[in-house]
Amino acid sequence: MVSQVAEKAAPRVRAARKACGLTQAQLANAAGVSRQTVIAMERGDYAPSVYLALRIAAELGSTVEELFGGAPSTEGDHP
Amino acid sequence: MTKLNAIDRAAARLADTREGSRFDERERAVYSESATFANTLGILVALVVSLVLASVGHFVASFAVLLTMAIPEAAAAWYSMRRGVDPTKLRDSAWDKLIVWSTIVMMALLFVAWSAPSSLTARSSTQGSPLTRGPLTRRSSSGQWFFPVSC
Repeated sequence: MVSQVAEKAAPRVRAARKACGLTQAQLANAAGVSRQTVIAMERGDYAPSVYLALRIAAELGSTVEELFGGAPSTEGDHP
Repeated sequence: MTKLNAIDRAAARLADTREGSRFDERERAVYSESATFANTLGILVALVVSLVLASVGHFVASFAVLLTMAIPEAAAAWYSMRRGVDPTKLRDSAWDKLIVWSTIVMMALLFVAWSAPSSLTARSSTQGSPLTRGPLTRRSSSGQWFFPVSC
C-alpha cells in the first residue's frame, strides 16, 4: 500500500517540482529534509508522512491529494 | 501518542530518535531498519558463537555470550513495550518466522550442548583442543613441556 502510494506520487512530485522551477536541493531545503529524501520520493522509494507531504505540497503550490492521492496523475496541471 | 515520562524521554534521548534531531524522517526510518538488521544478525552470530563455545566445553563463556546477546534484545522489547508496541506481534512475515524458528532451533542445540558435556568435552579435551587445554607448562620432575587438560 505504502509502496503503491510512493510509486504513484513519484512522477507527480517530480513534475510539480519542475513546474515550480525548483531543484531537488531547493525543495529539500524548503521542506526541511535531505536531498536524498526528495530523490527517494521522486524514485517512488519513499512515501512521506502526512506532515512532510503537507510541507511539500505547500512548497509546490499543490495539495496532498493532488500529489499523493489516489486520483490519476494530471501532470502539466501543476503551477 | 501518550506523553513521555522522564524514563521514556531519557531512553529516546539515548537512542537519538527524537523529532528535530539531525535526521529527517526517512533517514530515521532507514536508521531504525539498520538497527533492527544489526540486532537480528547479532543474535544469530551470538547463538552460533555460543553453540561453538558450548560444544568445545566452554560453558561459562557460552552462557556469557548468550547473556550478552540477550541485553540488546531485552532492551528493544522494553523500549517497544513502553511505547505501546508489542514486538512479538510484528514478527509475522515469512522471513521473520524463519528467523524466529532458526533462533529456537539454535537455542535447542545450545541446551543439548550444555546438558551433554561428558561426550563433547571429553572428546575435545583428549584431542587437546586449544580451546580446552591449559597454558603450556613445564613438568618439574622430567623437565618436559606439556599442555594440562582441564576437565
